[in-house]
Amino acid sequence: MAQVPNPLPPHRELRTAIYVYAALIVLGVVLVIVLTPWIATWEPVASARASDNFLTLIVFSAVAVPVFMFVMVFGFSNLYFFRHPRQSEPPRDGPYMVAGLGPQLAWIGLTAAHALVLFVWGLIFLARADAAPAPGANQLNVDVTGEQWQFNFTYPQYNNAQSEILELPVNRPVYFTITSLDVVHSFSVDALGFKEDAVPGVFTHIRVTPSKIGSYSLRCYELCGLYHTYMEGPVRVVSAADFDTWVRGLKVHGYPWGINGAGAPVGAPTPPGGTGGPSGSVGPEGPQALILSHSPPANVPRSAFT
Amino acid sequence: MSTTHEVPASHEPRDGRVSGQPSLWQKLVPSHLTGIIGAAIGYFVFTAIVRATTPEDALAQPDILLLWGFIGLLIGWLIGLGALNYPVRWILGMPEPKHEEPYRGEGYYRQIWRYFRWNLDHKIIGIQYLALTLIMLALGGTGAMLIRLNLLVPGTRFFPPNTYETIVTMHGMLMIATMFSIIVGPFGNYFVPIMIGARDMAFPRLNALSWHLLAVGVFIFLLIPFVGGLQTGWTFYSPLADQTEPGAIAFAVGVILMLVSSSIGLVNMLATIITMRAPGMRWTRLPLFLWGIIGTAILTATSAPSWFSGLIQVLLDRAYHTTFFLNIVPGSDTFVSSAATGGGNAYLYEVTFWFFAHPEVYILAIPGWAALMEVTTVFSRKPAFTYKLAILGILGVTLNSFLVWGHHLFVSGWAPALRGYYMFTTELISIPTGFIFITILGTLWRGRLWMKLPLAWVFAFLWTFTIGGITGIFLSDVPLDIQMHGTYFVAGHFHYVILGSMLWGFFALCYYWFPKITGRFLDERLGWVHFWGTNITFNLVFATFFLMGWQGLPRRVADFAPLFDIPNTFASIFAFLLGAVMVVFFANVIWSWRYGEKASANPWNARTLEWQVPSPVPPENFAALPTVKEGPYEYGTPAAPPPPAPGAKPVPTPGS
Repeated sequence: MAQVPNPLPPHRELRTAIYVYAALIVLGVVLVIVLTPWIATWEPVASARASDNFLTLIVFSAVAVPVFMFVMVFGFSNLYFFRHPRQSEPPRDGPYMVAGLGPQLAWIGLTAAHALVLFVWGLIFLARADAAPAPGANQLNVDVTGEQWQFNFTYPQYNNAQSEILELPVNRPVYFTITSLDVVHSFSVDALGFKEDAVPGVFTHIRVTPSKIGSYSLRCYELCGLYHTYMEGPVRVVSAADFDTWVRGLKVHGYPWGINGAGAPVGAPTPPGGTGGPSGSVGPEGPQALILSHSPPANVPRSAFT
Repeated sequence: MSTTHEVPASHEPRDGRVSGQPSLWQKLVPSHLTGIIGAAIGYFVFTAIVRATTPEDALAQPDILLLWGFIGLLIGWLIGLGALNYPVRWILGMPEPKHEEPYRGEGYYRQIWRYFRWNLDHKIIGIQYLALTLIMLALGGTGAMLIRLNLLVPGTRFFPPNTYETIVTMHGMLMIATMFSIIVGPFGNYFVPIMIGARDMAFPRLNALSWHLLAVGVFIFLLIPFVGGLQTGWTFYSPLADQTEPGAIAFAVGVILMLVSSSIGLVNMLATIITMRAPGMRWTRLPLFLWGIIGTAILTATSAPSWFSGLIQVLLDRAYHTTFFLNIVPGSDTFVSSAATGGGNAYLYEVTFWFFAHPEVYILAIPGWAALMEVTTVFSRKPAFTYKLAILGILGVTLNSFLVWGHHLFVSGWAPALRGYYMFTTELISIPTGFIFITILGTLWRGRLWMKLPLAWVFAFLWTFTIGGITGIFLSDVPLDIQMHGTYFVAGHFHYVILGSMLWGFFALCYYWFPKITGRFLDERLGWVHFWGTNITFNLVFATFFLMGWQGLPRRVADFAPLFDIPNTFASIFAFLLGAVMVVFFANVIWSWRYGEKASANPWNARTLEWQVPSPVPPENFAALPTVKEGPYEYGTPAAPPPPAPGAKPVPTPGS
């Protein structure tokens, strides 16, 4: 390959494209900031975690605009500037133009800097999301046990009170300890912005602090078998006083199970289902947007590992 | 005058291996027909042996029977094909079997029966691959239509949950398997030897074995609905895979065969490229498509064994109650700590799986990128803007993709301390990916764009893959991934990435190389209908996925909350239209194969070697090996002679 010096003079198309590029970046960033909040109006944002995620979505979209617009402008403007007018016959060869060192290094540097910015942002917000609460914050521990096809909740600080409904006090840090009795599930409350797998034989953890009183939905996000579709339920975020009343009204079993039953002898009887709170206090108090409106098939079976 | 390369024009068979027309018996024995008979016999013999020798209680579940039945089916298929004749005769010191001997006479590629047997010609295998992958694409697409049918209206009106999850699983895995081989299978097999100036692959029997393993693997995979279905999704996460219906056996055996098929096929191509390049074909004169094959081959050969072993462990867990991934006492629904049982661990499967399945994403993407770069230079009439950076991009992605699998486990609770590291490596991969973009954009810039269909698909790639890549950046961010993992956002992201690179690359190559394979063009009007129809409907369907995903709609559910009624109906309707457009493409391929406009040897005026031989390519490709004089994309070089006029016959160079 003979090394051919680049014989091309500077050209006006490049200048035009750069102007269009700059204009489209501004336009794109404005559009992202104006339009992105619209898609959050469907489902409430009810924790710092979720609102941080929402901020990240907007910032990443805005940071992505220059990348997207670069490809669009310098890709599609070719159709306008350099298109061969006739389709029926092949054009002559274009100019012999290969990149020198400068453009290549600039490209590598820019893409690397871009990746680095996103990485640093991610590290900062990961640390924020994972941060342990201040020492006096009165953290609430909730043990979550997934099984086909529901989640059960145990409140170890309240005599191992058990429930099939998740209720949380507002503005109190919650520390979930999650496991599964059978297959991998993924425990998630979308409005609170978190998700953590329930893995058999393993305890996984996640922190969240609900910040808004309301009724939300939880569900499983990992395909867990036949009735995965129906593995969902309500989450209620209530005031501290309401939570206290509710949790003290829950049934308490004679022995702990789920997380605390990890050491229980093999073959210990499984506690019966239906350990929910007083039925009077159960019921949707607001829009649980992600809950199916249709009743699941009759008798969705409980766990049966064969 | 000759082109830039010396390509002798005479295509007489090099050693005169011409024989008369074979009889019907010679055509049929051995062939796929005897292979099918052998497979049936093998299945029944093996199941009979297992039935006779296994205790009654072990046969309560059909797993052992199915597992050995499928092994028997595979062995019977290979024996029936005559695939084992050569090695057996070679070991016994007998002469080579006659049925493999390629017949090199006139009309070789028009004899349909040649495509239905064990054949060592790389071009026949390429066409076999094209047919098989198109069938797989059609089946996977049918699965997609059925999924969207069920999601058209709320309330699972069409399929019960078992059927629905089985369709989801089969759609996912079939499409992955299709994309795995849709470029490297047909076009890799057909063009790798021609592009490097060789007569065939380094290991023709390995090449034939690769296709026949894929065919039997797909067949076994398609048996899933008939042995109970499967509710795991293509990820096949283990405690669930151990618990679900016996369809898991068909899945695991089928996928193992697909993995082996891809690995040996690609390693064969790698060996061919390393050892059989024509004189003068230096590494820096290799077309970028071949660099894509090299990257893909390295990735497949090193990552596929990981899932291969994982699937075998699942098979053993199921059939023989080993506990690689289980920590639950079978038959009990009581939770016990893993120390009390076999000590298996669900994370082990997830890591085993994703160590393959993340590189797999790039196994799908790299050949697509390479194909699109190849096409870009030809239709912009310019050299690749950054040829070496493009190679570095392919190899950089190859290396980097081994370091990122943990980003699929951000929400799994596995090694939380490593999440920052995986976020870093994942975002790092945007750098070598950027090399691909700078190559394509720089090549287009100031070119003379010949807006034929292959180049149109390059622009479709620029749009689709940019969106796919940017949404990937969102998912690489740990907190945001914790929000969006397992939602339709992820589904939208990987459809944009995989279709945007692999399938669009496949379409570009189809329109580009169809004249070389068949001697006829694909119909252009139907092609433009296909192009616009696909792009419009595709974007309407999968942009909706992003919106639904941000709102929290989980993947793989058979029913959805009222919030998603309208978007799901919208997505379903346009998905059906997308399906209809794909029918246009299939019709175009079938119709143009017979009745398309005739093409000359080099209708695109391209400079790579495959365009310097007649269309369709004659047996043995080159009479004498060509000598390569320059790089593949020397368009507009002052030093180089002008390219041949379209249709010009290359002139033989004496003494080469």
